[in-house]
Parts: sequence; structure tokens; C-alpha cells
Amino acid sequence: MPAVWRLLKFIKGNPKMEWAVNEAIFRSRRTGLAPDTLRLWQGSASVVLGTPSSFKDDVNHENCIKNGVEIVRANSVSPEVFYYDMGSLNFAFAIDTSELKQFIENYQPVLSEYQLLNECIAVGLNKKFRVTSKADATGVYINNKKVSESLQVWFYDYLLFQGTAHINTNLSIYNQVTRSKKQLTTLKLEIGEEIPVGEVINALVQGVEEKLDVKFNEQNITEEEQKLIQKLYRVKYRLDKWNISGREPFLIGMGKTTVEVFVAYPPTSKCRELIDLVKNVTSDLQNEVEIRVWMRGRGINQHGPCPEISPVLRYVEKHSTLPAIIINGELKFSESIPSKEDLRKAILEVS
Amino acid sequence: MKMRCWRLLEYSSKNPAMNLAIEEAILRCLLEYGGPNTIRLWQNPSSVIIGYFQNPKSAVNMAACKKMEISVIRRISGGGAVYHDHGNLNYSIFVERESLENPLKASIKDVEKSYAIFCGGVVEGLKALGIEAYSQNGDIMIRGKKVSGSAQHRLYNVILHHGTLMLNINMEMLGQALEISNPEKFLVNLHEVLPNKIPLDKIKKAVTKGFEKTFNIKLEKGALTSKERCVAKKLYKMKYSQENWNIKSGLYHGGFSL
Repeated sequence: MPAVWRLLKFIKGNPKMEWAVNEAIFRSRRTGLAPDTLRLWQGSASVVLGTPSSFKDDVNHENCIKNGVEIVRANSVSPEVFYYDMGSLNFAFAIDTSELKQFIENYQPVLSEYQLLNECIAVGLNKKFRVTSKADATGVYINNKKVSESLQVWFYDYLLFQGTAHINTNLSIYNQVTRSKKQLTTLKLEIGEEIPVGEVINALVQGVEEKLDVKFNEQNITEEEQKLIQKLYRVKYRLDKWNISGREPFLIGMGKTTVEVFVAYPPTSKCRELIDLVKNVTSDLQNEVEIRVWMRGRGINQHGPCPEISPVLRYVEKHSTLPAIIINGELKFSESIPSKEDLRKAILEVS
Repeated sequence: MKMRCWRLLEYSSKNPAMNLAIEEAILRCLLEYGGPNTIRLWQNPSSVIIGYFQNPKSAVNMAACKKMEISVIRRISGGGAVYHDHGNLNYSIFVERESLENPLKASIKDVEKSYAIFCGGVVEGLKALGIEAYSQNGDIMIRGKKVSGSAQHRLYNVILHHGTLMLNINMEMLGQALEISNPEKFLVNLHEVLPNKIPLDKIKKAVTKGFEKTFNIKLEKGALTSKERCVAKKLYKMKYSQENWNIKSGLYHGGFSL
């Protein structure tokens, strides 16, 4: 029996908000609040950087300004950069990859999943438009030129695979605003005629259905996702701190303000005092704030099998900084107990 | 300026896990209840003590340890695995930072500087025995070979700095337990460089004097308090005697232990 995936379609939005949508549906999927999801959308001209990409080295900022091109950053493990505009169709798969392995031969971790999803796109394009596109882990190619590219991010077995298919992307602008040396093409260039976006949407949907034995159920985003999108936009995607510098806040699950308290195991009386203080200060913010008390030495799974841990927590553990209070991934207090007022202020500032 | 008194504790359990529980108990009691700073000189029977962040399955030859009936215990401080036996003297320094006076207090806040200061006490002691030693990144070296290693753990403003001093350690067992071939190439026992065998008591006395000089203190012999004993017993029961703490590789996920 085919698996049922959610299909989301949003067309023509604010680019920065659109990337917040992708993260929100991914968080929703990995928290178990949504099924596997394919989102197809279009957005105005933008350069997208992966998390490790460099604004300075990978983007021609002057040409972006000249051409009215937005700069956005997407969560990604790879330092890829690409450009899309209203001639492109963007996609985001937010899925549990453990279900994909049945469709993969000669499994290679990570690469096989990327290749399989790219194959879905290739199958759809080949069938609908009678082209000969080929997929590998890096993208989809027609005549050895890239026609679809992506950025990927993982959370345990969950994958957010987000990218763009170039239907009629302006490649001249692409080459001006990025410092990419990729060999690119568009579907229009290969076929030699205009292609309505709706047809490409159908092609991709059919490609996924055929390749992964999936049925789609077209839905809207949930209320929780909508709330999270607003928060992600506010604390991350609208900010240069993320888009330009690549610095993001650390948020658990569906985006509650996250207070990580790192204490000794077993907690000393001062540690207990600190834990009580954090609970007390946030007692009226229970819907907004998630407290995670980590005890040094109790192991990685003290909050379940798939822990979300901020990079700073790794840092304080490595340096045995005890105790420490980390708010949304930023070390705010260490080695002493803050006053109630200072702690409250620090939490409210980022909520 | 009046010379401050610290406690000198020469207490060793016959159980390596209990010895490490005592280390943490003294640290915790100094934080919780105050009291004098302490220097502990102690010894362990044959055992391997691994660093907080280490995976024993890769840091230690577990099969060899089992065969030689050597226990493997995790300590709270970082750093690498060390082999202990009665040919080794351990020293531990328990200091409440605020109790020190500047410039020592300021220097000790800096981790790198603090290693040099704490190791300096042992270096002074060795000097008194006529041995030219020097500290280097938390190790103490004699003629280019390591005679002592050390590690730290900090809890609020209390610091535990502890280290080994190899007197006449069994290098063969060390090599087997830690899977090191020819450990003599880069490790040295103190007895190899001393012209005459010096009794343990004399070495302890020299090290004690070295610490007194380094910290400008007077060390007075003392015993474990009843609170320290009680906390040590609890820590032994819930932590240091537990495979979950000492061995379980489940603690490690992507190199992260927490």
C-alpha cells in the first residue's frame, strides 16, 4: 500500500519567509506533528547560501543589489550556493529517510538518499517532457548540465532536502550574482519552448509517486507550523545575522525558547538552587520556554533517544564549565548563579 | 602576611573506584560546606583511570585489563587514560579560588596558567630531591621524558587539579593496559633518575614542601571529614561503582558524552 505524503503548494511569497516555511515543516516532521511532506513553491529572485557557505566568497553582493536579488541562507550541511527566480520551481522534501532504504540498491549513507530524491525529479522530467535527464547525489543533469540542485540538512534519520529546478531561470543573472562556476541549463533551453510551471509541478509529483510508491494528499500548513514560521522569520530568517553571517539561534523542536541548564551529576545544592531559579523565573512562560537540564556525566540520552543539543552545550561540556545557562544557543551565565532579574531579562530578550 | 593553613590528606582506599569517589567528594564538600583547601597524596592499586571524555573501548586494552584483573574507572576530569599502581604517587589539589590572594587568584582563573602553577608545586618538590624537572602543558618532564601527567575539573569556583607521579610504576603492565609499545621511550620512573632509592615518605615530604612554597601555605595533616566520607560513599554507590559511568559506550554519541 502506498505511503501517504502531504503536498504543500505555496506560490510567489517573500523569499525569507519561504525558507522559514521549509524549516518549520522540517521541524514539524521530525517532531512527529506532520507526515512526510513535499513542498513546491516559487519565489522572487534570490541567492541561497548553505549554512557553511561564505557570503563574502560565494556571492557578488554588488550585482545582487543591482539586480534586486535577495540573499537568503538555508540550513544545509554542504557549502552550496544557488540562485532562483520566478522561472524556477523550488522544492522541499521533509521526510523520514528510514522509509527510503527499501528503494535503494547498494546503499551508501547520505549519498543514496540524495540520489534517490534527485532520481524522483529526473523520472518526472523525463516522462513529462521527453528529455533525458540523469540524477546523481549532486543534482539532476541534462546533457551534463545541471538543471536541478539542492541543499540538505539532517536530524537523525530526518532529511530536509530543499532545492530548485531551473525551468526558465535567468542564468545570466545567476552567473552575475553568484561566484559559481557550475555548468547550468534550464528546461526551456533544452526543450526549446515555454513550459508552464503547473506542468513541472505535476511532473515532480508524478516522479515521486512513481519512484517512491507514494500518494499525495494536498493540504495546508498547520496552525502550529504557521506559528513557528512567524517565529523563525522573526528570530532567524529576516536577520542579517543568519543570512549574511550564518549565525543562527538554537531552538528545540517546534521553536520554543530553549534554556539549557548544565549542572553537575548529581547536582550540588547550588545546582539545585539554579534549576529551581530557572523554573521559577519561567513559571508563567511554560508555553514559550523549554527547559532542558543536562547533568554532566549522565549520558547523551538523558532527554530521550534523539537529543537536540546546542553547539555551546558541547563547548561548555568540553571545557567543564559548571554550571552554565545557555539560552537559544548562547552562553548567558556560567560558573555562578545569576539574579532572578538578570535571568528573566535574558530569557525575555529572545522569546 | 599571615601564612594560610591548608589540609594535607594522606588517605588512600584500597578500592580505585572509592579513591575517585573521594576525589569528587572533597571537591563537592569544599563547594557546599567550605573548609580549608586540601592537598591529597594517595595511591591506587593496579588500575586504569580514564578521562571523562574517553571511550574506554578505544583508549584502553579492555581484554588485557580483564586478564590482569585491573579495574577501569572514569574520573571527572578530562585528559587521557593513566595507569596506576603502588609504584605511583597521586597528588590532588582542591582549591576554592576566592580563598587565594592575587596575583595567584587571577592566574589560576586561566586554565593554562593554572596548570603551570599547580605542576610547579611538584617541580619544586623534585628540585628539593636534586632532580631537574619542568612542567609542560600539564605534564612534568625529566630529560625530555614524562614523569607526571595531570588533569583538572572545575565546579563553580572550586578547582580540582590532580596528577600522577611515577616512582617505580610497572611499565610492562602500563604498556599492556594502555596498548603502548615501549612506554619507556617517553615515560620515566623517578627511581630511574635518582642516584639512590628514596623512600616514599621522603618523596611525599619533598612534594609537600614544594606545594607549601608554591602557594605560600602551611600544610597540616588532617583526615577526611564525616561529610566527605558520606558523600564519597554515595558517589561510589551511584557513580564510580557503576558500569554506566565507567564503561558504557552508550555514553558516547558522535564523540559527545555529556
